[in-house]
Order: sequence, then C-alpha cells, then structure tokens
Amino acid sequence: MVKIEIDNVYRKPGNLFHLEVVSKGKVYRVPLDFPGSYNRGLTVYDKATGGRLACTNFGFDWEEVELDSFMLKSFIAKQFGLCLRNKGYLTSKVGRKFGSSYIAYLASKEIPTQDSDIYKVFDGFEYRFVLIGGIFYLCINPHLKIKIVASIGKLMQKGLPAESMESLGAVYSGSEGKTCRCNIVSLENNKCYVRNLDSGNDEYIDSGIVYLIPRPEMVQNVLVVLGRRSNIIEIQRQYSFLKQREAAKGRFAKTLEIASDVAEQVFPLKFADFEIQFVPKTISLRM
Amino acid sequence: MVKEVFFKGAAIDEEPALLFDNADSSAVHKEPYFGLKAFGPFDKQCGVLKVGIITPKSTSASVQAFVRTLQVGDARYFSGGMKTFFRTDLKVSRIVEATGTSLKDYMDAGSQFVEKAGQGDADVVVCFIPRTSNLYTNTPYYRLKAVLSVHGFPSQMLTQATLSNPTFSYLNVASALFAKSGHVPWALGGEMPNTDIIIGISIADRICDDNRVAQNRYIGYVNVFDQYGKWMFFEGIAEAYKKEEISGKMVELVKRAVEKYQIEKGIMPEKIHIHYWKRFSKIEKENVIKMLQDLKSDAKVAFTSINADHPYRFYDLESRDGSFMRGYYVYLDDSILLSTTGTTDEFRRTFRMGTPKLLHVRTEQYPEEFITSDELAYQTLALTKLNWATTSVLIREPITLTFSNRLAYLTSVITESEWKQLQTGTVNINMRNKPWFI
Repeated sequence: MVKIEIDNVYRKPGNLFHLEVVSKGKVYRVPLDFPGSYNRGLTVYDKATGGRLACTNFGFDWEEVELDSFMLKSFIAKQFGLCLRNKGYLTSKVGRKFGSSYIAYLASKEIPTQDSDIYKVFDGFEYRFVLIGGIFYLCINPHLKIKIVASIGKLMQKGLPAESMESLGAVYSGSEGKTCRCNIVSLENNKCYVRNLDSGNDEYIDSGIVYLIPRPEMVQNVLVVLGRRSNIIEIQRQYSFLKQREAAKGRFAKTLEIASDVAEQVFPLKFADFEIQFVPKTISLRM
Repeated sequence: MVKEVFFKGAAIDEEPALLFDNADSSAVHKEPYFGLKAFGPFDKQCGVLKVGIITPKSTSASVQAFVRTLQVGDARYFSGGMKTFFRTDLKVSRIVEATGTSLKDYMDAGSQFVEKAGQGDADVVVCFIPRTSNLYTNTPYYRLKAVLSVHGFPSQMLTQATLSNPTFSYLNVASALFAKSGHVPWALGGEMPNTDIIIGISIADRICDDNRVAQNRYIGYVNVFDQYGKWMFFEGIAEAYKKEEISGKMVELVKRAVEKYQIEKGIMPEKIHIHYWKRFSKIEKENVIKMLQDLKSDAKVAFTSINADHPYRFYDLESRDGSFMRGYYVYLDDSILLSTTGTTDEFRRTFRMGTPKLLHVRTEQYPEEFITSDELAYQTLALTKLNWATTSVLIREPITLTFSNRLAYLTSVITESEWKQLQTGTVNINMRNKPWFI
C-alpha cells in the first residue's frame, strides 16, 4: 500500500497527482505504408499526420522525431491503460465534452444487485492525464461503471413493452465492431428500426445487438416498467457519497485509496527507455 | 529530490448582492428570499398578473387552490403571497379542463385554450401535468409547452409532487410566473466588472420532425444579458441548418444580439462577453472579430468557455463537509476552476449535498485582455444567482448556460414549423422579451 501524503499546511488538496518523468527515450515515426509487423502497443496515433509514433524503432530504420509534451502524454496514457488491463482492469472511454477520460474497473468489484440479468454496476474510477504548467498529472475520481447486459430483444422477452422503448437512445455494434449511437424509432418482432445518429440514416437492426444507453435514469425506467425491485438511482447515490453528511471528505478518502492502489500496481511506469514515477503526495492549493 | 508542485488559488471576497428595486439602489440582499420579502421585485410595474389554467377535471380544485395560495400566501414560507413578494395581484383569467390525462387530452385542451384566449387574456398559463420521465419527449410536458409557446403563451408546469408538498415551491413558482410574464424579479446589486453585454450561445443539434428527432439539422439561439446580469432578450435563427453552417450562423446570432442591444440601450457595447459550453473554433473567433470590425465597433470581446463536465475536484479539509468552498477558485495555465456550490458560511442554513463539481472557465480575449481571471470568477459566480426559476442560492451553472440548456431541451420536441413560428411574426414580438423557457 503506497502511503499518500496530504499537505497539512494549506489542507486544500485536489485529485491531481504529480507524475515525475524520470527518464525519456526516443520517438520514431512509423512509415505510413510500413509493411512489416511490430508491437502496436508501443505506438500512439499521431493526429498531425494520421500515422503512428513509436517509442522504439524495433530495429527498423525509422525517422526519429522530436519528442514534445503532448506526444509524451499520449504515450503515458496508452501505457497506463495497457498496464491497468494487464492487472485485470477493464477500461472504457467516457463521453466528456472536453478532453478524453477513461473509466477503469475490476470485474471483481461488481456491486451486487437483484437484477444483474438486466444491468451490472461496478465500483470503479475515472482517470485522465493532464499537462498543466509543463507538469504531468494523473487525475483520479471515483466513478461507477454501469453496464446494461440485456439487449433490446432480451428486454422485450422479459416483458418490456416495445412502445416504452420508442424514441430512447441506444447503441449497437456496427460494421468492423464500431459502436453506433442511435435513437429507437420502432420495434417489430425481433427487429429494431433505428435512426443512426452519426449518419442520420434509418436502419433495421437485429434487436439482439441493440442496447439501451446505460444512463441510470434509463435503467431505472426499465426496472420500474418490468416491476423489478432494485433501485439503481439509490445505488448511485450511495456510491457517489450523496448519502453521507460529509460527502466531499468521503470522496476524497476514496480518491486516495484508489490512487494508492494505482500507484502500487502501475508505477513506476516503464516502457522502452521511458520511466514515469508517481509522486505520493496530493497536489496542494495555496490561497 | 522531486520539486514540490502546487497550484495557486484565491477566493471571491464577498458574495454578490442582488437588487430588488430598479429605483432604489439600497434595496439589496444576498438572498432572493429575504430580498423579495423585504423589498418586493426589481420591477414593480406588474400590477395584475393574469393566469390561465389548464388542468384535468380531477385536479382542477387542487390546482385552483394552489394558485389561490400563490395569491394570498402560505403562513410558513410564503407569507403574504404574490402581493408581498412581487407587489402583484394574481388573477385567474381562464380555466380549461382537460377531459383526461392522455397526451391527446392535453393537446385538445391546449388547442382549446389558444383558440379561445387572446394574447392579452393570460400573461402565463399554469398547467397541471402527470409526472413523466424526461427520457421521453412526446409527453404532455413538452407538447403542451410547445403548443402554448408558439401561440405566444409562456407556461408553468405543475405536477402532483408540487401539489402534495407545496411549501417550498410557492416562491419558486411565483418567481417563475412573474419572470415568464416579462417582469424582472431581481438583478445584480452592482455592475459586473468590465462587462457591457453577455451573450449566452447555444447551438442545439436536435430539432423535432413530426415528433421524431431529426438529426444533422441544427438551430441556434442566444440569450442576452446586460452588465447587471439582467436577461434582456432571446434571439434565434428561424430555419434549421446544416453542421457546416454552424460557424456562420453563430456569427449571425452574435451580430443580431449586438445590434438589438444597441437599439434597446442606445449605445454600442464596448466590452462583449460570449459564453459557450464548448471551446470556440479559430474560425468562429475570427469571424466574430471581423463582424465587429464591419460594424465599425471598437468593442473588445472575450470568448469564454464554461464547462462542468470534467473529473477535476478540489477539497477543503478545513470546511464542514470537506467541500471546496463557494467562491474559491484555482488558477490553471489559461483558465480557472471555480466552485459555486461548495459549502459557505454565508448560507449556513442552505442544504447542500455531494461534492461540488467545479466550473472550468477558460477565456480568450481580443484585441487585448480586458477582464482579469479574478473578475471573470466574480462574473461567473454572480451569474449563478440570476436564475429566476429558483430562489435557491447554491446554483452551479451561470444562467448564460442554464438558459441555453433549458432551451436546447425544449427544442428537441418543438417541430421545425413550430420553431419557425416562434422566431417570426407576432409570436416572436410577444415572446422575445419573456424568458418563457426557464
């Protein structure tokens, strides 16, 4: 267990944890039409060129590029995510308006409910890497992961009326496994007539592969219509510390607990010639 | 040895005061409840507020009793009623009873109301509706609001939850009725620093087409506020447009807002703030600046993005519940993180729960910086106190965003033809100076 120090002078900590770059390696551009095979885990997408950057040249004669902070942030984020997955965590991207965040959770941290045939809830955390004043920080915030496990087809089999799902938001796995967002227009037998929100086109999809968006209100609505007993809103309130008198203190303590786990399991983060260290101290605010 | 890193923060010295009389600058208080009780509303010209009612027969007596209590008051929290808090008499001008509670029953009742009532017959319509999940849009709440709005009638919805537990709702409903009828309940007690006009922008990507959401068509609108945070008017683009037209339409909206401000105030604004929930694109900023130059304006403009959708949290382990206190903010590279809903000694009685989600406020200013981060923090905090739909003091978002979000929600059920009707002709003249969407 890594002990995280709290600034006891100002006592206004944040959920950003300082990452120290102990050593930096070199970065190479992967040729766009490179025919050989290489470990893509050690590469990141380069938005500027649409190609990939690698933190090792794998012995190939690749062009070295100058490493900047944004590239390094991409490599840290990628390696951190891979490392979490190696430790058994599941991760998914969070739809935030600004920046990219991820939710990580362990399958073993499922919160038991009476209706796990419809949805599952995991006690996880959200994370994001940020660069402020030239310094890297890992931002950690406790976060529940909600998964709907019953497809639209399954929900109908369980007795959910088709009309109660019309106009609701849903997702389905499109071509090449791409997740497509849609609105349900109508349901007939085992087919779902949806409006794809990205293309604007209407499509007929097998209702067995369409899932409602896992918003708590959506899940609760399904549970109420099906006459189920569990209450996801209550679970969410409980695990979001809303039921505590000192909610912020509860969230902060949980943040430290998660950060300590992560620090122990993932750091120092080593990849190629890079090494990143977690500084076991909360960021302090001086007023 | 790792160098010690820390962030710098500051606190807003004093909670922004609110003004409750447009002719008496001493009529100030920090809380709407006490301010309204002591001084009445900012705008004291209302006289009689005519209220229409739409309700099913089964709840007609309860709704009328609720409206009567709004007029005469409730001993516990709304003593003296509209007369005391808003210096206004409430008069029920028309009641339409729906035959049932289905969507069709409500649509019929709505049609009956707008057919019979002239626009002078009711300033605002109180509607009793069944509580429905906000996941669904084809509900009495949305459809009735849309039908009444496009005929020039702002509406205030009531549900059984309000009627069953009305004590703390009377004042909020009264304030919303007063505001929706075109009157100002309160404004800021002083000017916001370096601010002439604030334009809250919203581009909604959902507009309804025969009660189904139509994608890839956008509508834009702005809410305009003066230097006292007083909502002035609402302006929208009548036609839905394509994604690639967003930048151009946004500039058109800002231009119309500035021109209308000039007509209403008689002066060209010099310090313009544009609030948006998202980051401005380079082209949007360039086009706004060019548009202002074309208007022969020397105005300075601040493009401010305000976002609460991020995982950053700060705590104050010295505060009662550990929350980062209201009015505290953190300086980041080019932005601030501001707490608007943390605990505060000022409002100790106010119930609060959870961990405050801080506002991430980022601004870019042209041609030079004219508002500091500290002034921007104050401006943002002050704007959280001007939501006339509630007298609560701990509101997270500034109204520039709240009003836009409310409207974005409503536009998902307003059809294109209804929206067009709202933006043009007599309906627009009647509604554009009323915050009918709050």
